[in-house]
Amino acid sequence: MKTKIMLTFDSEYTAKPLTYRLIKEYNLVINILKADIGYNNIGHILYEIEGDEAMIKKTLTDLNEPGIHLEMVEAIIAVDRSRCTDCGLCTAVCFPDALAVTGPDWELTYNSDKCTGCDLCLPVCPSKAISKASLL
Amino acid sequence: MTRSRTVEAINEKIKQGNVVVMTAEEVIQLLREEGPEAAFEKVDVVTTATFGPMCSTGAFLNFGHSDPPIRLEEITLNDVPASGGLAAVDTYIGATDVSRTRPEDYGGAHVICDLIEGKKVTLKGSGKGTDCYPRTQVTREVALEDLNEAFMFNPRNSYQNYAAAINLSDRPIHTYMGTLLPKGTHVNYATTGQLSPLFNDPYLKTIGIGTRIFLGGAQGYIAFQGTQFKTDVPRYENGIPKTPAATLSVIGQLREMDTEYISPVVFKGYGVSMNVGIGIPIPVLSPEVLAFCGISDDEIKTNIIDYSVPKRSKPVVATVSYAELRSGGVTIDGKKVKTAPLSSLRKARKIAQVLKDQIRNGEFFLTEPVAHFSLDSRVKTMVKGDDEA
Repeated sequence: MKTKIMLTFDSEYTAKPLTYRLIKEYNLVINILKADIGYNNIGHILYEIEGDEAMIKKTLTDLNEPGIHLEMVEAIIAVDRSRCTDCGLCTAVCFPDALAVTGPDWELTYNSDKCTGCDLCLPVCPSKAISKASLL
Repeated sequence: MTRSRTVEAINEKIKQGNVVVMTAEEVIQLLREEGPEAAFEKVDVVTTATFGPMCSTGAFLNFGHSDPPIRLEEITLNDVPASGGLAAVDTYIGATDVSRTRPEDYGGAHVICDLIEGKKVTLKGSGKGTDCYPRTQVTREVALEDLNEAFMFNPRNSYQNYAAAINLSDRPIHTYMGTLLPKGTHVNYATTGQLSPLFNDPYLKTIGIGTRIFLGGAQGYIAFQGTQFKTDVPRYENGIPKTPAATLSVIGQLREMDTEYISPVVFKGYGVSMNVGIGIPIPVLSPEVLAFCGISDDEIKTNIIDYSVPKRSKPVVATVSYAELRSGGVTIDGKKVKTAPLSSLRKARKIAQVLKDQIRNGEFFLTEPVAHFSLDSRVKTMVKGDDEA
């Protein structure tokens, strides 16, 4: 199974090797898409994770201890269909081609599997139709 | 014998409900199969459309008089400055004017669309006070229904062959063509190609002053040539200009508009503009007129220009067809470069279809131009100053 997971951790975990634990204890193949430590030293890491489905679920249960929050991410951005005009300008800056305008109807499609969470599309959308998905 | 039909005859068919209308995309196939002479018998009207950012857009509004009356000299609508340079309670609000309090995300285009959607807008005005207009300050919440006249009047829309944009510098730049990533990462292009109004009538044989059009959902009109109107341009054999050429000045009732077909846009680092939806019907007056409607994306070429050069004249990097731009990638100097549109083909197709339905349902009649546009217009640059090389 391949999925994206968002890890949010409090300041006391800043110096702890959480990613190492995911690899060592749960045998997950990990690709870090994005990581930051922001206000109040709260950190975020967006992983793309490949591994046994049962093991991924176990990881989510085990590691959700106080100060750590792990959650599967279905979509990184949300497109407001009432605002989107399907112009396609956002596709210019989408390197993994998660955003595309194709097909006979020339409508914008978003493939969350391909999205790496770079957020370049957010300010580019002239109709302000793209926002972070509610989880993030 | 030269075959022809008149606008009057087409309108008679619309009245009788037997007019044949095709969109500019649909007619391409017919023309390929049958040629203009045979196809001429089968189609009366071709609908064309575009939907994209057009900065030279705005609206005239009249607020009616307060008691005692005021001559509005300084005006804001939702903090967006509007012109105080007209008669007492007239104003013009431009789409690109920005809010004094929210310059990054609200402007004239938003005010116009808020009005269209029936929202209340805060009018604040002041004047010095005169014997005939004694009041000096006014604040009111106004909606479209409270206004007298409210009409869109856009000095320059619907550019014929706008150039595409690339950025060959090594830093990202923010333009009205969108954010352009450095090192020629991608090409952004405007217009809807084969569906675009002025590509289907490149010599403006049927489109002229007074032509009734679809404007933002309303039945509007072409008021005049657009600003920077240029028809004395080099052309390809099929008549398509090699550079940006003709433009249109258009007018229409705000009350009839729908934000499905007109919407505000904000370009990061540039500012506010307006997506304008325009549909223009082309009366098929002759096989020659029809033949121009058959020009397809692979036969329409445009220049890709390097927007990172901060000069009036920017270098042409490549010349490509709209079919190549539409395919998602073009080859420049042997390198594959991604392409992305600014105009919405989906919306333009919808407009072409809506206009087609309106004509077939007898709700939209065609017009003969009051006057035709000149074909020898040129554009001047600004008068040269001492500060120019």
